Amino acid sequence: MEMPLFVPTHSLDLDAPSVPSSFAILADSIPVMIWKTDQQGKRIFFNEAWLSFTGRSLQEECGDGWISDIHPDDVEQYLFTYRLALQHQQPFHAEYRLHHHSGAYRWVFVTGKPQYHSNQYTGYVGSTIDITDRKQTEERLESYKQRLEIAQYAGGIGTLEWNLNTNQIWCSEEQLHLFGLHPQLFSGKFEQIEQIILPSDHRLFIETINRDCATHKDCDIEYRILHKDTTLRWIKTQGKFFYTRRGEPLRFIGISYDITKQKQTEQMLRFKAESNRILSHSFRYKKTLRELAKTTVTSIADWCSIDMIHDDGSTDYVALAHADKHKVAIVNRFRKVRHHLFEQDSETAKDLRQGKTLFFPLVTEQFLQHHVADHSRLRFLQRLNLTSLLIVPIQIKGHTIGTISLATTDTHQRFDEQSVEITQQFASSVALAIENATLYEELSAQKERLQNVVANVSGVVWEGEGELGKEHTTFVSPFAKRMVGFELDEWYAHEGFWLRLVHPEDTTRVVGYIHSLFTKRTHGIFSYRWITKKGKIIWIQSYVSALRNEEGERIGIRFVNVDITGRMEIERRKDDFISMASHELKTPLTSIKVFNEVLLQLPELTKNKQTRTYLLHMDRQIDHLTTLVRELLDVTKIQAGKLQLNKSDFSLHNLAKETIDVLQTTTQHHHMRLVDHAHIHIYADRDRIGQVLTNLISNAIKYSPESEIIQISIEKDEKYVHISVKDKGIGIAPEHIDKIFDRFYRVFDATDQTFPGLGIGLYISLGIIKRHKGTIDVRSTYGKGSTFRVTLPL
Amino acid sequence: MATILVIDDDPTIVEAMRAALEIQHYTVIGTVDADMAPQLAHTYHPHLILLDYLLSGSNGTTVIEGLKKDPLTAKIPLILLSAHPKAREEAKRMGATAFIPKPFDLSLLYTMIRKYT
Repeated sequence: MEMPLFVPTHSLDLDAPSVPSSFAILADSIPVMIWKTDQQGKRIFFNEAWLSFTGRSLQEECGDGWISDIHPDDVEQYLFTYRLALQHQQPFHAEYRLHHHSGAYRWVFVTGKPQYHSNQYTGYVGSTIDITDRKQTEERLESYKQRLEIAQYAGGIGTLEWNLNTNQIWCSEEQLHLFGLHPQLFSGKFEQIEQIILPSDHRLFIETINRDCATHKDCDIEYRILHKDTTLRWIKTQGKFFYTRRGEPLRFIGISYDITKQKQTEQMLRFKAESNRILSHSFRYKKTLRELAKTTVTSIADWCSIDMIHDDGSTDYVALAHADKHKVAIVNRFRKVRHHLFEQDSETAKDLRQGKTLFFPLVTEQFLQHHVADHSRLRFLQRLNLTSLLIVPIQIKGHTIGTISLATTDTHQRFDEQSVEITQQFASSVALAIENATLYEELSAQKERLQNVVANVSGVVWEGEGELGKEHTTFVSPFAKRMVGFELDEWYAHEGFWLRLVHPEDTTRVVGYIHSLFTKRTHGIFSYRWITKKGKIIWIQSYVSALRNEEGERIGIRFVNVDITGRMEIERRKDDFISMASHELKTPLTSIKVFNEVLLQLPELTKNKQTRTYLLHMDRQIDHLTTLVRELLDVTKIQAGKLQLNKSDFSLHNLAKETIDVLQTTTQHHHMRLVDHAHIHIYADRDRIGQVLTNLISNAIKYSPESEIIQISIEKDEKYVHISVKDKGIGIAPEHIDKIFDRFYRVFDATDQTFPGLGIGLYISLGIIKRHKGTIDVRSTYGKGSTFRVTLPL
Repeated sequence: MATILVIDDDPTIVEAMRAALEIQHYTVIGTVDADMAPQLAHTYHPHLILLDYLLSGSNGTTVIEGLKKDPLTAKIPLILLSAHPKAREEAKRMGATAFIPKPFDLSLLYTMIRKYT
């Protein structure tokens, strides 16, 4: 280091051994410490600057006194340099610590030069300057440098400088460590680095560098290198190209660090996201698994095989993937003749069945020989050149249904705990997906079946959401087009489309009915009319229910509507036929009845007792036939809900009495007893109530052939009147009691007693009483008789 | 005894009614032609008319309307007889004196005739 010398060699008069006063004056006036020796090297002069620095007098310093100012640690070294220089009359310079008057030592820089006067050596003149501040800065710099190195080492940051002309490359120790290169074995040639880059990354690496260099861009590149120990590292290098003034590339300076862990995590996360995406997208699980295998080989492994293992150990090789198709073909060829992924009864198979994960971070030759007994299988596996192997069972409800096998080969990547964890999670997701897919397949099959059913139903199945009458259609079955003519699109396009179809006369009733259903939180069937696109009126029977959300709130409505126009027509024709038929039957009955009764009035006939009896029989049979015809008509009416009442106020007593009087004439065995306390009047259809009484009493007569008394009682309470008909006849067996009011139901007695009749009497009676908002109940003890009780509101 | 006009499209019924009424000493004018009803009513001044309500044609209704409109026949009691279930209401609506569903007991017919003659 060149220091400015304030003492030019020849400009001063330094000829005398004693220091001339001119020199002393000059030396004292400058801030640099100046000293002078005699020919023997003895210090003979120190300027003011020196003396004020050390705080000592000229007498104290001259001679060897100044030596005691030197730091004890520096004395030896300095004096060696000083004396050696003096001995050879050479200039010298040195740094040492000098005692300051404050008590501290300060770093000084000293230069000394031999002086000549007329070629005669006269002694040394020296200057000493305080360099403590500079020294400290230097020290600080040094410690920074050290710290940076430490930091780079700790941070795994390597630095490199690459001369693009010579292709020489300089690497920091850490950089070489990153590259897995021994400092002593590094040639400093770029080619050596090229060799360790993973072949599959090499092209991209070179291309990127060339491109960035050509375009004067900062370089940022990620690549894989293969260490000697076959471990794979991801390295990231960032740096800058430097160019000559003419723009020719000169060198590259950059830093590098290891991003293997980060890269693996990224890969894992990407894989996880991708696999989840695939799993959630498809329900066709085999296809899904093949896709998953492909994803796996582009991220976390070189090989991926997903296989379903049956209970007998045979394997369904579902998915196999490797980046290289040829390799896949080789494995598939091997698998064609091997129906088991694992050797039967091997430890491997057992472990997997028990749900254990098999994890082999490093697959060695010994490993294979130890684990694989089958010779051809072993040879096959040897050929695969596996680095790392991971087999995770796919389990559903604790039962192993398959495996996911991952392996690395070419990339030499080794699986670690994180890979195991990820793969296990992956296996659970796959298991879930398979389970879902199986369920979905079942569901789809069912859905398809249901859709076919719905499509083939000759009715409109419709669902809509929204306010009543303003629903938007969410589903309408294809038959709607055939039934009402409108395109299905129109159903979807208009709110409350179904209501538009309803016949204007029925709208209020329909809406009211549905409202009442929803209020009662029930569903129901009712009929109304629709007008088709062509304007035709059709009768539909509608099954209506509410669509509710999970909270039970009504969100819409569902209809199953069937065209019953045809049925309605048949029904109408049946009604017409029955009324016509009964009319047609009644007309001849009327004349027969009249003629018969006229005959009964002819004395010449009735005087013959036998003739009279026969005529009376005929009369009763005509009446019976009349009753049957009327009952048939009544059944039709009741069924159609068309039974009309002709209400009037009348005395129940009188009605009962009249009925009893008439019926009493039909039997000689029975005695009918009327029990009533007051003349009770009701407002009802007299003929119809009479018909019920007749029916009940006739039944009592019919079913009590052995008994005498039939009791008819009439009672009332505050709200109701009760009419009971009690007999002591055969009674009704418990198994029949619920059915006797059914239409055409007839009791066939166990004693093989049969009773004539159509089995419609009680059905009609119940129909009539129901129309009066009353009830009929029966109490009966088998073998002891029955009591029928009619209850009518007052 | 009273004269009764019997109108029924079924000649057997007319015949039967004639037998039933004549044996009870009524004078019976019978016809199967409803259109003849006003003319017969004018000619014989019956005390009562027994009319079959024919729903197959509109004769019943027309006959009743005609008889009711005609001051000479308007006051003659008219008993409607029918096998048709709807006839009872019709009878009421048309202003018939009484209604007897077919078939019937002669005793009921006799009671009714006695009541309105």
